[in-house]
Amino acid sequence: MNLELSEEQEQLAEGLRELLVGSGDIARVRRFAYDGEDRDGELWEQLVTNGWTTASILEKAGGLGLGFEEAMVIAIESGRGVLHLPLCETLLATRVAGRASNEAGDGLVEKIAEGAGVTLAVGASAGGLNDADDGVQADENGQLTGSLRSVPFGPVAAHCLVEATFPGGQTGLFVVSCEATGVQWRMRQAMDESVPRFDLELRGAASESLFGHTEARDEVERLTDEWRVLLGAQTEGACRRLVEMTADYVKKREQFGRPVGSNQAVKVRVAEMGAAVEKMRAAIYFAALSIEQETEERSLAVAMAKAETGTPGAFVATQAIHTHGAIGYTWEQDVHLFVKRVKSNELLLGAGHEMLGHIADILLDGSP
Amino acid sequence: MDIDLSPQELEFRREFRTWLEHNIPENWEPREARGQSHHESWELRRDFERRMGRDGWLGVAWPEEYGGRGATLMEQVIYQEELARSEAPGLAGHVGLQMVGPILMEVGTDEQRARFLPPILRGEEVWYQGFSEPNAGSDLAGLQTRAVLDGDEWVISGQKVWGGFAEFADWGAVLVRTDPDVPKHKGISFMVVDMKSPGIDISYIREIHGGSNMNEVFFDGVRVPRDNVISEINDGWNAATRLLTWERGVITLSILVNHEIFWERLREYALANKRGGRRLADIPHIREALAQTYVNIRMMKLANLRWLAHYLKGERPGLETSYMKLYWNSAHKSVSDLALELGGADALELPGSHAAPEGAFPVEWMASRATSILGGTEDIQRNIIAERIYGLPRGS
Ligand SMILES: Cc1cc2nc3c(=O)[nH]c(=O)nc-3n(C[C@H](O)[C@H](O)[C@H](O)COP(=O)(O)OP(=O)(O)OC[C@H]3O[C@@H](n4cnc5c(N)ncnc54)[C@H](O)[C@@H]3O)c2cc1C
Repeated sequence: MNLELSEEQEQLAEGLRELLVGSGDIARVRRFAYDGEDRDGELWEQLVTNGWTTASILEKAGGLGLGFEEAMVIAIESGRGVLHLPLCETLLATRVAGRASNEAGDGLVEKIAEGAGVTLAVGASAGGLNDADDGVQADENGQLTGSLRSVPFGPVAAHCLVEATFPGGQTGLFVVSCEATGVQWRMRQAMDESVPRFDLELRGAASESLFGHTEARDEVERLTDEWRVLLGAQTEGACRRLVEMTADYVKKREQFGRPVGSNQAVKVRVAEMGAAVEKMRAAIYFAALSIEQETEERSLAVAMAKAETGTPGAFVATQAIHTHGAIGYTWEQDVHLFVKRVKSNELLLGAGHEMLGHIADILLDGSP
Repeated sequence: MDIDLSPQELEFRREFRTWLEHNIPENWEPREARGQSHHESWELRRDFERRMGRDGWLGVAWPEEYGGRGATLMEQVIYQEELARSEAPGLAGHVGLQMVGPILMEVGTDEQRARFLPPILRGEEVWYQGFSEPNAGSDLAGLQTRAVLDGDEWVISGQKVWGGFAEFADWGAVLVRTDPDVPKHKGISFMVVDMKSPGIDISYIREIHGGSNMNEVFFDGVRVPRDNVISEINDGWNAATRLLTWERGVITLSILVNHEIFWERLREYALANKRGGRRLADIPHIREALAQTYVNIRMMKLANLRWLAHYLKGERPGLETSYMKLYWNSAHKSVSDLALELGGADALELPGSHAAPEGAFPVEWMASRATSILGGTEDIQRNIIAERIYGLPRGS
């Protein structure tokens, strides 16, 4: 029994944290994501050279051979630094491509090993991105047509995994090059500007299928579950930082001749934020473990992690703004960068109440 | 990471479970006992506890040199879980087993250990914990019960309140003020008091659910041998608080199994009962409430398991026990709130009522109101988190 990170995993976390802080941390996110400077190729390059983007690739294929627990650790740190690049998505794509163990999968892994980033346009059929999506259909030649909304990062990545239906109606998962002919991206104005979002329009775009007619559905579900856990892990990282920022602020800010943090009402808020974050940590550990060990409880564990980081995440975000006073409501203060990530992650791939509904189905009807 | 039990741990569980199956008294009615006073089933509890002692199932955590099993922390958790799961009578000796025993092993004299440890382990001597006072609750260090040295004896006068089992106890572990002229934390000593001594007067407090398991204990010139001080004179505060933290850690780790069992009963109840022609388990808000409560309990457990991983590596429970206390309160309150909601009007009936589907529902609800108070209130835990974990300024 050991529900805690190993020393190596702690070191992994520190390594990524150092890299992100060293690269300029939040100031860099502001510069590239919020102030609309060009794509941050430089930081991506650093992530590639230091092995972060290839962390989930097997060692024999040139990666670090790390598992899902490590992907979770990386996601926590990417939330802590509100990372504005598709690192988590690339790790997830690596894992699913590895499981495909065919030419298309190997090809994608190879490209990731060479430094390519990947994003994900899945989730429509898994109750995911957006029910209003028209969906995408594949024809006999593997050409994709249709649309999916709100794909994170879009053309910031080089490739995209697209969920689409085979001509027979079964779910499939396809690799598309983001710049290929027939692929169009339309940028949205996302609240969380550190994750630019795009509507994807496909008109006969060439693709390679990762799985056959029968396996893809489970794989998409699994990918979506893994994604939920990494979104939750990002939220945990972002929330933990919000509590730290808040504690620092209320210790320094003075009113009535003393630090505002000496008032018990403020202490209660900070203590409740801390309590929420510690519980989130346990929730994502358990979910990551259930994925790593492929336990029967996966679906339940993931839904609990998503629920436990969802509403409580929004709670921490809201308290962080409140305890900063008006400055917390401004663009200038950093709080909002984290708040926007946390709130977005709450809603993506299933908000708290939806997850609770799912949990009730499992517990009361014995089926997900 | 890994959350499986080892083969030895599974074997330990099997062994204890089997023992419990064969030894829980047949006439023990666990659900009726909730909310009753201890004295209504005292003889039965007493016999059961002696039997546990006889077969080596008391003090499993104690090191072998003191007659225990030297159980690992994980085994201790399993032990507590099995006790709860079997709905065995609660141990009257827990103050001796979980508090006095360990503290004597750490700071007691050889004579004290030889005198007090074996009867605790045999289930023969019961201890009372006398800490809180009418004017010293959250501010426990402000306690006023005085002990004055007179020749070879301490003479104790004052009043304690809220501790249980005082009327059955052989010994009391009592915090007293031995030096009123130093800062409050520095003038407190930890004393062993013979509870049958002249000058001790005990009365019952009737609790919210009608049962009486708490006592008021009055000390009027009670004489205690000089050697009955545990640890150094005036060092009682350190010893007591360390143990309270330890207690909060290991106990909350195991207590939630009670809530798991209770939640399972609610699930069954919701599947089996209807309201307005609809099965409870089909009503959307009840489905969501059952799911949310399940998540609360499960999360409390997972958070505790995460900290357990640290204790298994040898760290002592510390400030994180304050989080455990907050989670425990919210899990306990939410599961018992839900019980009343499920039962509706019938859940407002006490045990024994002809209309009560589950007489335990309202008793559980009432009992759960205490969780935010006992063992250091929720407000005090939040102060600890804010001030000692996040470093916010003290005072005001
Ligand atoms: C079921 C039960 C079993 C118990 N068992 C034992 C036992 O075995 N032995 C024993 O010695 N004691 C026992 N206690 C007593 C328990 O430890 C005290 O009740 C507890 O420490 C609170 O003290 P109090 O009741 O005097 O409340 P008070 O300290 O008077 O508090 C009243 C209210 O004020 C709040 N408050 C107080 N100080 C602060 C502060 N600084 N900041 C914010 N809020 C504050 C409290 O949170 C509470 O809401 C038990 C209590 C219960 C309910």
